[in-house]
Amino acid sequence: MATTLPTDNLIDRKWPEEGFTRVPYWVYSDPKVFQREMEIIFGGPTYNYIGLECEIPNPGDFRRTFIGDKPVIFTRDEDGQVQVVVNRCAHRGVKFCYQEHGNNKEFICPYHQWTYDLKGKLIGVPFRRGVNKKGGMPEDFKLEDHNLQTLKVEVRGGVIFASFQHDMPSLEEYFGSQMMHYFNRIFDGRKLKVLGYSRQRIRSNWKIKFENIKDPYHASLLHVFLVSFGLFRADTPSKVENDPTGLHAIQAAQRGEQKVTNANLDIRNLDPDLKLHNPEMLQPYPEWASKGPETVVMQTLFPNLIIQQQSNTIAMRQIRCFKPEEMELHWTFFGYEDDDEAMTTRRLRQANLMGPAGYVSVDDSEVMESAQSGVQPYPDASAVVEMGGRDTEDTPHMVTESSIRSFYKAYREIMGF
Amino acid sequence: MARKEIRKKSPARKKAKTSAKRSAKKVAKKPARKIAAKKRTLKKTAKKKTKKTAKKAVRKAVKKAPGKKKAPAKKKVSKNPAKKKTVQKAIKKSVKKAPTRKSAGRRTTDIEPRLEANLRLRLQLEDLYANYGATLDYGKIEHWPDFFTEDCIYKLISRENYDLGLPLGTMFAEKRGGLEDRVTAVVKTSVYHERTFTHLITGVRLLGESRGVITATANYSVLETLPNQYTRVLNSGRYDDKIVRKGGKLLFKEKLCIFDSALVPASIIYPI
Repeated sequence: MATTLPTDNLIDRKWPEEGFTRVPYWVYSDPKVFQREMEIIFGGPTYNYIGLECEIPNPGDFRRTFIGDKPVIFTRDEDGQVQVVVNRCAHRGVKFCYQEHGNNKEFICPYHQWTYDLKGKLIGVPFRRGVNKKGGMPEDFKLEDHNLQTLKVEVRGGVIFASFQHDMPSLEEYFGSQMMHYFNRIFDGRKLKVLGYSRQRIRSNWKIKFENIKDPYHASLLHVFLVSFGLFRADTPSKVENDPTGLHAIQAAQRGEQKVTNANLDIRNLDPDLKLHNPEMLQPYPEWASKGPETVVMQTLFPNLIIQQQSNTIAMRQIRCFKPEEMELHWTFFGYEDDDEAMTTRRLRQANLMGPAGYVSVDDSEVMESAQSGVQPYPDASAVVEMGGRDTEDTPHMVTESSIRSFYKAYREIMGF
Repeated sequence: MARKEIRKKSPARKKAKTSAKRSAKKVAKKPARKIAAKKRTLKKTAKKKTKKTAKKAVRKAVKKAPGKKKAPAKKKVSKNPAKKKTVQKAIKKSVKKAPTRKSAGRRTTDIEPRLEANLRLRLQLEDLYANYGATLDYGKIEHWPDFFTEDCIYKLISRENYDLGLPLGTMFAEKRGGLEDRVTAVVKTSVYHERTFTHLITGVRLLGESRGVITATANYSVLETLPNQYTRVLNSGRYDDKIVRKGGKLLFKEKLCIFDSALVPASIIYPI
């Protein structure tokens, strides 16, 4: 394998002339594109989802996670503040935190025992003054020059976001009021409770996952479970909204009936006879009825978060990426601290729809891998994204790919394509 | 072959160990009345065996556990795969021959009927797990729910969640109906690439029995093969099961599949 990294930032690729109604396949497979994404998207001026506050309730609690391909740790310091630091020792770059989660007073790198406090400040270097007056760090070596790299942290409604760039606008400004409205719908100040994690490695580019949730067109055709039980279907009241930047979006719908009508004749996967042998799995409680008629809202918050609310199953889906052709989806299923047992059970039952074995999600993971296998050998071919027109407007229906178009419109600007 | 391997592997899991100890204690502490009742039923079955077999089994057990009558026999026997095999063979033979010779009515040791019952149950468990795996690998997925009771619970859960006490399962099916819904997904509704599986189920261990519920555990690996790809480990971990007897069959009342790597390769379509 090549060990030299490209020194120039030049990517010799041309976007198709049609513009954002086309997506060239090299964006999914070119290692240089991937590298640039890690630098200027995940490592740049974006707010990345980190985790939930309830995962680190006490001072000293910490948990490891990733921003793109970059390992970071989020922790709660002695003052109760959430901190996010890179999991990379300032000395020799060792990924020093060996535990997935835990509680400690300080972080100690196992290699040379450089020790950091919970804010990432370097507080100890063994042999700093030498041993028996031999060796030691130079006279002018200052601990404060070698702290862990820290990130800008923002917490809203119990959700932690962080950015490698410190001069960032507020979250409200970054996501926009339209997106914050849907965000606040779920994160309304109630305390959250984690129900469990799911993690899967999918052999596809990370953008294929991100687009997947910006694409209601597929959802209303591919997923037998969604369309048969009316959980997400084009003939029910639905909508798509994109924020002004085009990077974030929601798709929402109201649950419909399990019935074949003239409006849904095209949906071959709608099975009017599909029945659950144990209907308890899907007996939702109208939890968000007071906040609008939507029974499902799927939100994409650029660059690494999908907020899932389908009936009563809610989850954060974090996108982690390690190679152009491979991503990890890290699911945190949660509920609220004040959920009664029946509600928790409901959430756990409905979680069968989602995750690596989800009645719905399995279809996505499988198709995403096929998408990658399809595009990988043909970098110069491109996708056609024209459903619902050629613009990026919000729509009062889901028969559109406008969110994908608006995403690539913005993506091209960020990446300089 | 598989059986040999089973016994060689000494399970190193802390939790499992302690629960094994616990169950061992339970056996030892069983009230005399219960044991007597059990003995009566066991004697009936023991009569079917030849004297030779019973003797052999006892000799073996005694050899392994000199002077320790109270210790559960199963533990001792399980340490020696070769001997266990002979005993099992002998029992099988004797069952085949349907012996007419009656037990000579000699004084038997305490351990004999218990050992008999224990061995019988262990064989049944071996069969149960082997058939379970074979059904998922080569049989019809529609028969998968037949291994469960009506009011069963099936949960596939990562060790990460399990150890943290988090309830989320990757699959969570309640009652036979819930299992049948999984089958529907596999057969009818899910979109996925065709694939084949091989279940490697080893280290079947009987942990105890109380109030008609048998507790057992086994290690498993599920190998998955997709077209044009090398076989890969899809999922590995341990079964943590509660089993009941019904109509001469053993059925899962509760099956937990606790898998090692929280990271799942793409999707899990079929039950584990």
